[in-house]
Amino acid sequence: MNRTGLASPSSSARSTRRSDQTARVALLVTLGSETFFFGTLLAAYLYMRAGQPDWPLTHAPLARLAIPGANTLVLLASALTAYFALRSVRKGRISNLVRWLSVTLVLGLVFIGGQVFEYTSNGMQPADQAFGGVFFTLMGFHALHMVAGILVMVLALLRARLGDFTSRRHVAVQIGTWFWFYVVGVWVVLFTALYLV
Amino acid sequence: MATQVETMPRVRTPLKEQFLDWVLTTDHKKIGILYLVTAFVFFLVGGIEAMLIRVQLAGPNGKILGPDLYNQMFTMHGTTMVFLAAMPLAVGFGNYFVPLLIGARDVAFPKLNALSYWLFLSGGLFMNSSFLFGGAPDAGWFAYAPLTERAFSVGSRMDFWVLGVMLLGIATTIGSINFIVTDLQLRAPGMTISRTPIFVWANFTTSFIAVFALPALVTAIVLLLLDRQLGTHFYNVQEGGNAVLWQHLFWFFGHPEVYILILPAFGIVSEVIPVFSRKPLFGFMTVAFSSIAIGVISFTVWAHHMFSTGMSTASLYFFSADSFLIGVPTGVKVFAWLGTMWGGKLRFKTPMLFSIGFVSMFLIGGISGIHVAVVPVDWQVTDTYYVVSHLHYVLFGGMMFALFAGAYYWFPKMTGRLMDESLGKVHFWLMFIGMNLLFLPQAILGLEGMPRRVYTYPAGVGWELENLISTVGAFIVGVSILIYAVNLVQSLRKPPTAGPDPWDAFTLEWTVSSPPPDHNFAEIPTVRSRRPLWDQKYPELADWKAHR
Amino acid sequence: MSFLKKVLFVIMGLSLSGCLAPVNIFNTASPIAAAESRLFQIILVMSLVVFLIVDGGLVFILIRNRSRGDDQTPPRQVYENRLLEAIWTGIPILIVVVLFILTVATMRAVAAPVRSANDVVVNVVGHRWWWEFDYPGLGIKTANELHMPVGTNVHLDLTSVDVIHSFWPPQLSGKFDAIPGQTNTMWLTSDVVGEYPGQCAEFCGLQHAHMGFTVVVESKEDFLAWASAQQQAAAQPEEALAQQGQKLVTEGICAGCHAIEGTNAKGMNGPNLTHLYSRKIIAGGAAPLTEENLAAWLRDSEAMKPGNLMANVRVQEQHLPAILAYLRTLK
Repeated sequence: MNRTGLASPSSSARSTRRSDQTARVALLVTLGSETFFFGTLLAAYLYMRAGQPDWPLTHAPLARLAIPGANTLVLLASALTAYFALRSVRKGRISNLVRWLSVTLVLGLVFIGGQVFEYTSNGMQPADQAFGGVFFTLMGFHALHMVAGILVMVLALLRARLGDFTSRRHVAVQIGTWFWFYVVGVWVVLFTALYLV
Repeated sequence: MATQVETMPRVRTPLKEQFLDWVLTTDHKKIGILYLVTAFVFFLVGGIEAMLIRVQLAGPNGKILGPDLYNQMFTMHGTTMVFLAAMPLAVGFGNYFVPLLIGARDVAFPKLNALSYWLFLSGGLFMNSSFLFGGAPDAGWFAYAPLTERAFSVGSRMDFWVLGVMLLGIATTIGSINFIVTDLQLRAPGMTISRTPIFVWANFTTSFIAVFALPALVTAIVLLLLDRQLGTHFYNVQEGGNAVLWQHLFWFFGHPEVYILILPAFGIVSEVIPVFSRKPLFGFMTVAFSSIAIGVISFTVWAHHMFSTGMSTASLYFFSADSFLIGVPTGVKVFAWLGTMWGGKLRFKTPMLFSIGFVSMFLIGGISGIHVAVVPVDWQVTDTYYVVSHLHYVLFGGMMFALFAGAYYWFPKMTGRLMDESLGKVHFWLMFIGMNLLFLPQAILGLEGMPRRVYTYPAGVGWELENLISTVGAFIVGVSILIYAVNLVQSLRKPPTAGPDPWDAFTLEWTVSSPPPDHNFAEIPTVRSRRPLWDQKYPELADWKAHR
Repeated sequence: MSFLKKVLFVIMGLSLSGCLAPVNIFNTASPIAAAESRLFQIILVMSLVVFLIVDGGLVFILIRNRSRGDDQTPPRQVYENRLLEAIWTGIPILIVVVLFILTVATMRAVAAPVRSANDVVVNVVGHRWWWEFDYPGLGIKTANELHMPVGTNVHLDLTSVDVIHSFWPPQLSGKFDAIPGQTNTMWLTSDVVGEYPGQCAEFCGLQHAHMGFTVVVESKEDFLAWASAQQQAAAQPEEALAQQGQKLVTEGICAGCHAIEGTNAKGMNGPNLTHLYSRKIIAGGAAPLTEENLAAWLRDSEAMKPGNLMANVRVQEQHLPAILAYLRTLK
């Protein structure tokens, strides 16, 4: 129906809005659940850290923060490009949508590459006392969510190129970008809690 | 309200097609039945585990089960009853009846719904397969660290537990998201929030609690799995981990979990009592909001399971006060049920008997719950049989009684047949008497110093009589469940003469045939009040006339 | 508290206690447990009242409102009564406020006093599956029995070497957990000489059921006598058989886990045996200390306490008499 676009406007528009809203509600509830997941992981980290004055990354030298810091900027940029992608599809500019989604994807992949480099070069192991476990668990789950976000973006990109989206029907892009914002937001919190504090 | 039964020629579909129909179904009614049947089987499994425990404890120095097997029994009994029986039974009823109650054709995401069921079944089978692969989990359903670390729990038993619970946690989370979206998005025209049936309110609140509480459990068990398999040190004290961290994470899930268990029970009873009193639920919005209050407060009381772990005095004060607080909305419901029955014309059919039994048993359980919120009292009775008594009064006398009420209430709708009333009454009375014989002496045992989770006890300390009575009670309960099973099977063989509305009920599920047609409603109804069917049948007394 | 109230509590406590087994939380031997018991009794009375009112109300309603025969007309449809709902929300709030006040008052009453020089300090260490009691101020290390003088504040520092255990002497106090990696503090005090049994109350594995202990409250003189006996190193055996036993024990596998002061046995995993025969129970309360039980334990401890940590140690029959003879000297 999307491709021919010849259904009767009123009832299909209503049912589209209905099913769009359902998708958005489902995403919001899921993100709520995820927040409690990351929240309890963070709480576990803080609880363990409270019992240990000598936490490895306290007072880390600035050079230590170079790579993860740069990656943070990359990720923040990708949030901006994701927002531009959403704006483009709202205005019906599909070629812009494709462009911005691609940039976002590339930035996401750069981030992942950068983090992999960071993990393999900083010498920490998961079994390194308490800190190693916490660090890699938090980072690991974030990475999993990044991968999920990337997959969702890839899907959105493919569908965009196939012409599935219009200025009115693009809930998949909305879901994808909202999820992307969420994953970026989680990163900011984790980066602060693990590297900066 | 009897309708003409049209006799259609019985077409025998080949077995293979029937089987595939059930395996591939995404219809909420079939999925509901899958949940109910599977959960009931697990309930029987958990019940057998309980019987073995009671037989071992019937006398001092029991030799029926050695400590290893005993620890597996009580661990699996708890895990099975909580995760594989109680929760899925509630989800089964929710699955079948929420769409009907809100006038929808199915849930929001039918395929995800099916996935939830199969994840549940896989988790249950996986966890129970451990019996064949080196033994079942044996560190308690609550699996406290560091007992569950590799050093103290050798072999893969606890890994079975972790992975099984993970599957179940994912199943429940997906199912809960599905319910929330369904409850919000798929209500029939005219069904505002305040006209939504109370069972749906309960289902909605329960699902919200689940969506926020289960992640904490996932965190707890992921960290345990990492400790056991990757050598991290979250709970490993020697290397900077923390033994109490597990308890905080687990109970942050664990306390809301008990409300996940009891709220659907409240919902069922809140549907049944009005029908069999022939009056509306007294103080509907108060009852509805009390569920929300319970849901919210339930996240702030978790450490009342940890009063003996050496918490600060300020924490003790806070969690004690908060735990008292959560008793208030619960008490409000009890009064609402009494208020509903007052002035009504009470019909003592089996669903109503179980609901009344629920009210009195839950009252006892709730009162003993208040007792353990009193910190100095808890210091004496926590981790003793007093708590075992408390938890079984609320979960068995409470939740199971309500689930049986729901089973008898909704059986005619699901199958088109009525269950036998006399057998139902025998089931009720035996279960009621048996349950009290089983759990009341346990409260006394706790006061006499008997700790929990002990595989035997010495002679001569005075625990023999109470334990023996408790075991006798267990057998009586067991017999009552057999009677139920017989009733179930026999009733399924009867001709389908129940009709759409055998109880003279109020809500939308009773407006369609028994069992309902494939897509529930020929036409989605528009509702004007909380009790659309009541309005139809008694137009002079219609709710919408009283602006409800 | 007025005299009448005191009398009522004593009566109620005795009645409750009388219906229950001898060791119960109402049969108290310390002001700590007594305060906890009194609070519980008050709450039990309140609960009974609530239960009778609500359940009584339920029964009354069931009888009065049962549907009669063929009366088919529906009853009056009542939806709510805001005033009533406010009342039955307000009264429970009031009740829980009262409960909270009572809770805080009792917690303050049983809170541990500041440590003073006259107090006794005991390190309580939970092991799988036995209790270690060390008196750092007195240089004593023992197991299974915690001796304390009457009328003295005894401060306990609880910890564990393995998993979480919980220390619970019901007639003296509520329980506190012994958690590895941290020290929890509690205190005991008693005015009644006697022996008070206790249990581990946190599931700790296979033999959680056999991790009992005894608190021995004795007069100050008896306590001092006990303490000075415990401070002595193990007696040197004079009898040849016992000397043989000493050699077997202190130079054999036993020394790997057990310590006997004044010998080469310095193991830290198992209970200190220096004054084994001064105690009344063995194996974490699995059995009373008798020669027969000790022999059975040494022959095959697995049979007495399956899963215990010396299950693989089986003393050969020929060595038993010597070992038993030596152990007998460890008073």
